[in-house]
Amino acid sequence: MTYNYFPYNFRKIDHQYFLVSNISGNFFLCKKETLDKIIHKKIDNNLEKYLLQKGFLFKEQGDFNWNNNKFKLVKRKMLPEKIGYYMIVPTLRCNINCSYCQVSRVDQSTNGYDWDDNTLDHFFKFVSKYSDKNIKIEFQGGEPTLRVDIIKKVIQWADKNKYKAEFAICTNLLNINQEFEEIIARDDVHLSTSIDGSYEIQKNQRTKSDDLAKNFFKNFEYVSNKYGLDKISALPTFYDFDQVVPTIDFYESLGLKTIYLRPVNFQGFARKKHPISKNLTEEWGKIYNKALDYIFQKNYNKKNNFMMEFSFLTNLRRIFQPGSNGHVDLRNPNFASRDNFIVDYNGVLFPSDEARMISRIGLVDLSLGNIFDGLDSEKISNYNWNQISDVNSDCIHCSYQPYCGIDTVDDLSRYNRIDLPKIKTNFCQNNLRKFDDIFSRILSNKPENILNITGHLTGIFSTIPPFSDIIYD
Amino acid sequence: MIKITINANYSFQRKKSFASKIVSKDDYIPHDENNVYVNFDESNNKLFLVSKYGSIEIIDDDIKFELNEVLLFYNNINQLRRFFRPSANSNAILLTEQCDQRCIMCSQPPKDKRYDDFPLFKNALKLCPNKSIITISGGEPTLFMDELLDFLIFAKKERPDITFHILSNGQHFKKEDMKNLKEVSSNVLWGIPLYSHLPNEHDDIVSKDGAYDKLFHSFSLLLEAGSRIELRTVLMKQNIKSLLKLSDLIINKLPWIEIWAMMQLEYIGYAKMNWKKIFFDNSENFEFLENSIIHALSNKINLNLYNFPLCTVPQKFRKIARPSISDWKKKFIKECENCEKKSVCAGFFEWHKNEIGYKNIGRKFL
Repeated sequence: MTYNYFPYNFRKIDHQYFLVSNISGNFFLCKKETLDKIIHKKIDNNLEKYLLQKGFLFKEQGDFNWNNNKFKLVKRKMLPEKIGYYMIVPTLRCNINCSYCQVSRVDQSTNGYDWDDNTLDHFFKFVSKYSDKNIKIEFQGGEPTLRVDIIKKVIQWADKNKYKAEFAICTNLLNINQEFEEIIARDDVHLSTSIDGSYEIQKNQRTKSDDLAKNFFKNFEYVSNKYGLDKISALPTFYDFDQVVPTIDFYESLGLKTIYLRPVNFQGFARKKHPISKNLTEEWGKIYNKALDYIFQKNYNKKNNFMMEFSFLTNLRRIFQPGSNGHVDLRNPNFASRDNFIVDYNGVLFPSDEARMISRIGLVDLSLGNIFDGLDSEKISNYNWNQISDVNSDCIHCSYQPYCGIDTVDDLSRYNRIDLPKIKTNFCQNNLRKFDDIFSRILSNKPENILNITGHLTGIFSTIPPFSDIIYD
Repeated sequence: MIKITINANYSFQRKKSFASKIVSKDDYIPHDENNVYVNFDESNNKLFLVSKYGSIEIIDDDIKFELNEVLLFYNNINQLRRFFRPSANSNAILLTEQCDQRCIMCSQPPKDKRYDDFPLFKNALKLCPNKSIITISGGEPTLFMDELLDFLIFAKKERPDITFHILSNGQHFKKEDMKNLKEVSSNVLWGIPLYSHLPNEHDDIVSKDGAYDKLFHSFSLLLEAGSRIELRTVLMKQNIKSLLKLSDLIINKLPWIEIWAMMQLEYIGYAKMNWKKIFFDNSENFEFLENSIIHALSNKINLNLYNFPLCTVPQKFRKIARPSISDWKKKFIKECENCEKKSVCAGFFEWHKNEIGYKNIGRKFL
């Protein structure tokens, strides 16, 4: 009996090699002659053996190979059944005014943009209804530490009701008072802040004043010295792309182990101020690849204190580690109201921070209900149908579809529509480039690439490759 | 070493076996056979267990019973067996010493003895604490597949909180077992050995032709049943060189397993007999392991090292080394005296012999 093929796609990676990947994300690399044999189903015994081993063939539905592929397919698409992640905005007020503020913000002294007791009460009821005892709550803003009292109440409520909770507080670190420090000291609390670069850059792009910039770095040092660098993570935003390499060095000098290289994401109010961002995809791509090379070479010359780049890590995991579905920027399906929610200052629910921004500037209302009246199930259903790449006529032909994600909100925010051919979108171009880059690095066989691929996947930086038989010829 | 089988001077007015739980004297209910209490006679320095059937004197020295411990009283042979100790890191039912394989490193060489007494086990099960984990081992427990599955179905109904870890060679699963396997899938972790990606290398190690093929037939059924698998690979000179290929096989064909355990040898049974031929000293050479570990971890296989003393493992891999040796057969040796890692280290088997064991304890990977 001859074998059947699971559906597969292929893509040219360099002048010699093609990537062949199937619906479960099984893959290998081969030359054109081999690909031709497969396409025309004229495979010899060796190739048949290889394809069997790689999970490309099956005899009949329900056999071992079939079930194995089914397992991987499900693993790649499975989302949690309960809401495990809440991003909440206890206040929209902020005490600084960054030039490209991502989130909408209001001035520190404005009234009517904070949670009150009624909001808290309904939030607790909502969590009790939609979550089990494992939750993560991220406090966003505005600047959430303007309402340390709310942070405290949320944590106390989780303690009292025996949640196994983790908390992240996204703060500009300008005010560390005693009340806030009691919260920081808890093992289940993590801080996240923005560091765009050294003192001058931080001042120009964020704090706008000498004193505040000094204060920021003083507080950063205080927290990282007292509680360790594991307590705090930092995100840069690049406005000036020439600053990427110096910022990597700066992060290294601060002892930070992870950096997330991403261009300024002009959404929300920022988009009105900076209309140039639509055409930056290509320019950023070049900068990004060079920056990765720079980090990789540094790691290669090190014995310890290796640095990881977060978006490389995300794309890499999607290839090698089925089940890495926790990151809403890169997953498919990318359903709303399945495992995470944003709860805005007024109790309105959004599927993502980006959705909150474009709703606030009035482009489209992507709210999916609120914590007082409940979920808008019709809207959620409509939204979710556009968050599946398996039914997108472009994506289904792409070799990277099993690894890639889908983000209609990003398309909407950039192009005011969701039906552009995917290849014309920033999301698609950006990820095509990243996946191409990863497979080129795999093919390159350079030790600095292998060290970094292995290091990102396992946390163990070693020149032992994470694969042995993925290149057929 | 903690004794599991205990000798007693029997004077119970009952000859049939029964199961019972240790309670405090205050909670003891005289007419209920499911509870006993411990009575220590200080003047004579004698230890007694008191039951509704009278009391028995414990003959063995240094026995420390625990509150809520579950005991099996084998009255006709003057013995009792500790079925479940709440403080133990592993509680096992030895079902049989019969087996259809003859693995060259077997720590418990097959004998024609069986101890299956499922009605008694069922009673004992009801007495176990909430969320207990019970190991079922052998010999080969699935030689009594029907009875075993019946027991597991019973457990699932009566005590769905209890989970089982069953050590099996994976040779006896049949299509007909599917319904029951599905039923108990979430409550059972099957510990099943696979030694090589090469059929003949695996078959040679277990001394049974066709074992590898049968095993993969079983894997197919277990995958379809949604069973949970702990894949176990004892490392030896025989299979260490092909370990990398084995990790590839697991990544490609068995990514659905819950745990992959790479295991070190236990110096007892056939392993003791064959020691020189089979022992691979990872403290001398970690390279084969390293390659394979990197492959598995990169592809998100949940890899664990069992029975490896921490100091025989390079620092960067210690996070996957587990304190896997059961407390009743675990020891630390002279070299461990000032070590601070004892509480997280697997330690050594009680019968470990240092002269022929690892050459670099506490030295090479510090």
